[in-house]
Amino acid sequence: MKKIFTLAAIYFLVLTFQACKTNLEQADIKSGNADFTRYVAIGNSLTSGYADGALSLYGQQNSFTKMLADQFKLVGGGDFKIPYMNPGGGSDGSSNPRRILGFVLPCNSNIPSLSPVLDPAGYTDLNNVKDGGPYNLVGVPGARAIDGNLGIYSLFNPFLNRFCLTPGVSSILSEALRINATFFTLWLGNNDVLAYALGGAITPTGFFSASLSDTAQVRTTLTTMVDSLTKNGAKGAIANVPDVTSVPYFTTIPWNGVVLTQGKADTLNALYQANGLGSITWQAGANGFLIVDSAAPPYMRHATAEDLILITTPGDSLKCGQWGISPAKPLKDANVLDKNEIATINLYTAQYNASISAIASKYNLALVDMNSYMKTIKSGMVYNGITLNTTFVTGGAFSLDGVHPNPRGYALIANEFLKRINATYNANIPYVDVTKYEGTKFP
Amino acid sequence: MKKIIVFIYIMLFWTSYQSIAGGFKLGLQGQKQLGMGHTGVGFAQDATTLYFNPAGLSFVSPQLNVGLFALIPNTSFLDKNTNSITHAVSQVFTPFSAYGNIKLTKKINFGFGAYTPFGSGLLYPYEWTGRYILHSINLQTIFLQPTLSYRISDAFSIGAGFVYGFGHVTLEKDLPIQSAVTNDIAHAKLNGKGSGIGFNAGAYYKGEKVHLGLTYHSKVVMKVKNGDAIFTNIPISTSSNFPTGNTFNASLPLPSEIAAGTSFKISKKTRVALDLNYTFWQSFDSLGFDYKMNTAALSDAKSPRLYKNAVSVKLGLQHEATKNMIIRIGGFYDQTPVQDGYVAPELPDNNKIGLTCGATFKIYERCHIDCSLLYENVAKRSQRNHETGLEGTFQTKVIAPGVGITYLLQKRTYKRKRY
Repeated sequence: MKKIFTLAAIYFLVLTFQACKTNLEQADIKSGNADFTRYVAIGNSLTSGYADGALSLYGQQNSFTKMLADQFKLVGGGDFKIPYMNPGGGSDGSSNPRRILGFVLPCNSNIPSLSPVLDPAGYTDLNNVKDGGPYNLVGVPGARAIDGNLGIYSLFNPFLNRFCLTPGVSSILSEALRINATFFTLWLGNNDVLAYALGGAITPTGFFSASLSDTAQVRTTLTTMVDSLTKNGAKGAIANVPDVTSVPYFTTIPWNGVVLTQGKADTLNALYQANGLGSITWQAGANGFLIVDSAAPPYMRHATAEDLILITTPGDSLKCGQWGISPAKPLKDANVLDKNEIATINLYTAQYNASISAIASKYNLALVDMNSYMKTIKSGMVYNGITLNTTFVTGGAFSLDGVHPNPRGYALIANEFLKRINATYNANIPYVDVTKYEGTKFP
Repeated sequence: MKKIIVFIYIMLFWTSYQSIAGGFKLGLQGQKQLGMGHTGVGFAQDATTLYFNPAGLSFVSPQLNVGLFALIPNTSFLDKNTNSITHAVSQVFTPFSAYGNIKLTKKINFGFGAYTPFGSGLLYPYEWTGRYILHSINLQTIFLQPTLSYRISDAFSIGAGFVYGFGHVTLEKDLPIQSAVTNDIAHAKLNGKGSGIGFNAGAYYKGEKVHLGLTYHSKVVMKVKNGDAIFTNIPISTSSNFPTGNTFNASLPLPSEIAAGTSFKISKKTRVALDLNYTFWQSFDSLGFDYKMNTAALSDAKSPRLYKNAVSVKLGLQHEATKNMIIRIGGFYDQTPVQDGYVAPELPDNNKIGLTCGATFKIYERCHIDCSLLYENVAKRSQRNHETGLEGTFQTKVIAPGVGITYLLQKRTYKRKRY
């Protein structure tokens, strides 16, 4: 009797300890009706992993396309070949490496302040890696949608030149087709407005310079590309163009950065009066920068909340060089996006996006709405306790060039793609863990 | 006696606890009571009643009662985004209780208790996906309670105790700030001691077959003053945001509770007990840290918790199996105070079901060994936290074996009183 009792007690204890284990069940991972065996990623700098003002090995390793490829491997995805740069600071296409956060001495203080500086590791040559091709990552910094099917483009763009089969003949599309992909992501169109915007919307001077691309031409090229890519039955995702003016590049320098005392304002008003510019007045507190306005005399005015000052405007000149304050130094057109220019950019963005939506539905592609994603992050979001927004440096999602995301920001973009891919193809591919990717690092 | 004091002293500094009743309230205050689903408001059977119902002391013979649990919680989290499971690091906690009572006069009884009514302890692996929300929490409270009960009549008594609570809290998490020099990620540790006061009061009716009890536990606001706010791995360029030597104040309201209980004899050797508890968790509406030095990164903003009041139902049965052995069985249902959208890694709470059993072995007339075993299942909870965005499913299972000793100070009284 006693033995039975002891045995029962032991049995009971074992059972209880067993029952003490948690039994959460993971969701079934599946590829749905898409095939991820051979994935090719086509796009511009955002697809390449460009960040901090350069294409570097670090950026490539943290590209959203590599993250996607890693997730695709969970559902049968194969190798994802990247035209890797050599280790180092990378290249902006000429001889500048990426930027890192460092200390600089501001003109108006002897306390060093935090600012992006060129990576002291130095610049990395754009190594020619065409022998290792074809590559699954066809991300070409600077590429516009209208460049997608141009063979000659590979002669002019050093980032494509370095890995394409035949410079001058190979286009972005022809490089992508070499993969014979079963799945593709296509994200072009940003530079068709962005290049124009980044330059402050000045009048273009040549074919490959920063103009707004013709809407019909964007639609035609993207249609041609998708048509070729889907010939063999490949599925894919196409992303649209976010509102480029929400990136830190345009929102970091406040329009009303001239802060004056009453005395300073009085002096300025006297100076403007003396120069026949009495219509422009200054007051104590915050004032809009003085900017060039070609519309009407006196061809200068205060910036308003509807104008955006570009981050490339030299900070020391604003602080100490009388830029935007002195009647002789209004901010130039190239430093400012005004209301009309922004309206034009938005109009073109909307037109491109209408084309992209139409293409997505015609070819049954997953449509990744990066335009609304940008709105979400602009208003601020939180991922597992990390707050993220579009604030320069501290916002946590953008790299130091103020245009491209940092690794953490790219991870959020990878998840936007996965969200739409899962929904469109009845797939269930886990998202990437955004906390595992680095944000902007501080010295 | 001296040894017992030393024992209590050691326990005070060595214990830590995981929440296992609604919210971060612990339901581990007595071995016999836990064996019966943690009932005891209407069933005063040992000195432990000074927690369950201080009025019950009038019907308990002078004794010492100490107990210890080995609390083994298992918490896991399934991240909805990445479909991956995180298992919290296994820990064993040892909450304890110690009670004693003596008769002052024919009608007045005095008792003293030291117990652990609230606590929480969770340790997540480094680099888990919620690292920027919480790495670990350790909340410990110990209540010391001198108590008087007054016997109004043969069947009716009242009682009240003064509560002095003290304890400490430690919270750790990572901050999303990374050093470009060392690649280290910034880490925050808040560590403080606190104390507060309160009371409990009760009334007890002991009928021929039926006992009735009513108890009120007051709110105890634990105030942490000048706790240490320690930040490590902070890059030099952001060090002004995290001054060294910073401190914080915080207050943690431990909620009030009203409990009603009954027990009745269903046969000569068998007794059933039933408790109903209602806990006023609403007082825990936010958790905030008031830093001495505020910076751009350290604000005094409060994080909403918005707990709601919760009920629990407990049921237990005991049976005198032999002359020297009593066996017990019980269970409870505990409603969670945490609403959807507010479940956080610090307290992945949900409604709970507990199953318990226990036994008392009479070693000799004055010395009894009490054993108990708790198995508790905190139901799976899937939600997205409004504040942090953490989305997924938490699950906790708990096992807690316990053992205690009851030592009767007067031999004969017990014989007369035993059920």
